[in-house]
Amino acid sequence: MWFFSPSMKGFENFTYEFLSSIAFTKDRMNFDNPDHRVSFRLMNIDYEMSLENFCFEMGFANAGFIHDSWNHDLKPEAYNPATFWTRITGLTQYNSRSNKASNIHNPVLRYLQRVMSCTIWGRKEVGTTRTDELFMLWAILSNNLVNTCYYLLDYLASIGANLTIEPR
Amino acid sequence: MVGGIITFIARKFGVGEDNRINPIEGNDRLNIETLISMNFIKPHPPANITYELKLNIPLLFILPNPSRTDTGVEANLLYVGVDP
Repeated sequence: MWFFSPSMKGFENFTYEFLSSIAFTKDRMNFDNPDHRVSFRLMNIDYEMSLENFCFEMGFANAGFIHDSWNHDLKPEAYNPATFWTRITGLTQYNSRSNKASNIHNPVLRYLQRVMSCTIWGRKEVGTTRTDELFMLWAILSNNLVNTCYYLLDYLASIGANLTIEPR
Repeated sequence: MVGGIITFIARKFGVGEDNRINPIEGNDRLNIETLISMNFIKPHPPANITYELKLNIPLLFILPNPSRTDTGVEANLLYVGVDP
């Protein structure tokens, strides 16, 4: 997978410029053919495009499930986070903010969760399982496609919105 | 750290690396040592060349054990007893 490559190092200039400029606007008005838009800045160049174009540029298909989509065609009916959490942990209590990753039984799923949290999401705190990670584990197990770019942009935009740069 | 992904995005848009700025590198690799420090697994004595999966229940089985970790088997998603 590309994000494991040692050549994909982070660079302060890219990272801060991108995160401080990214905006991901979800189209909540058009259910059938939503026009989600993303804009960001890289090396003093402004980019603005649809999710479809971004997926094309990244080499990903603009397809697959989005578990919190307002479009019911994209929302997997078979997915229930609490039920899935019980399925892989045996726990009946589900709290999206405090589900401990160490409760996942299968080591493959636990490792996948750690890999996702450390690479795709770049999280410092990996002890809990994000709802997105849980959904992706479900999609992997059930062999369902996920709209990778949607989740990537959604997460990077949320990181950017909460970005604080400490003075040196 | 999300810098690696942003580097990937930048390259896709034809933006090269700026070598005047030092890359940000992670501190840890997600290898055996890291997994041990995360309380994910622990060495299995006496030889310590195999590993135990750590859960909040007693020892289940010794890793590697593909037949018990295959995610295609529903029974492997939830270990309900101690492996003989």
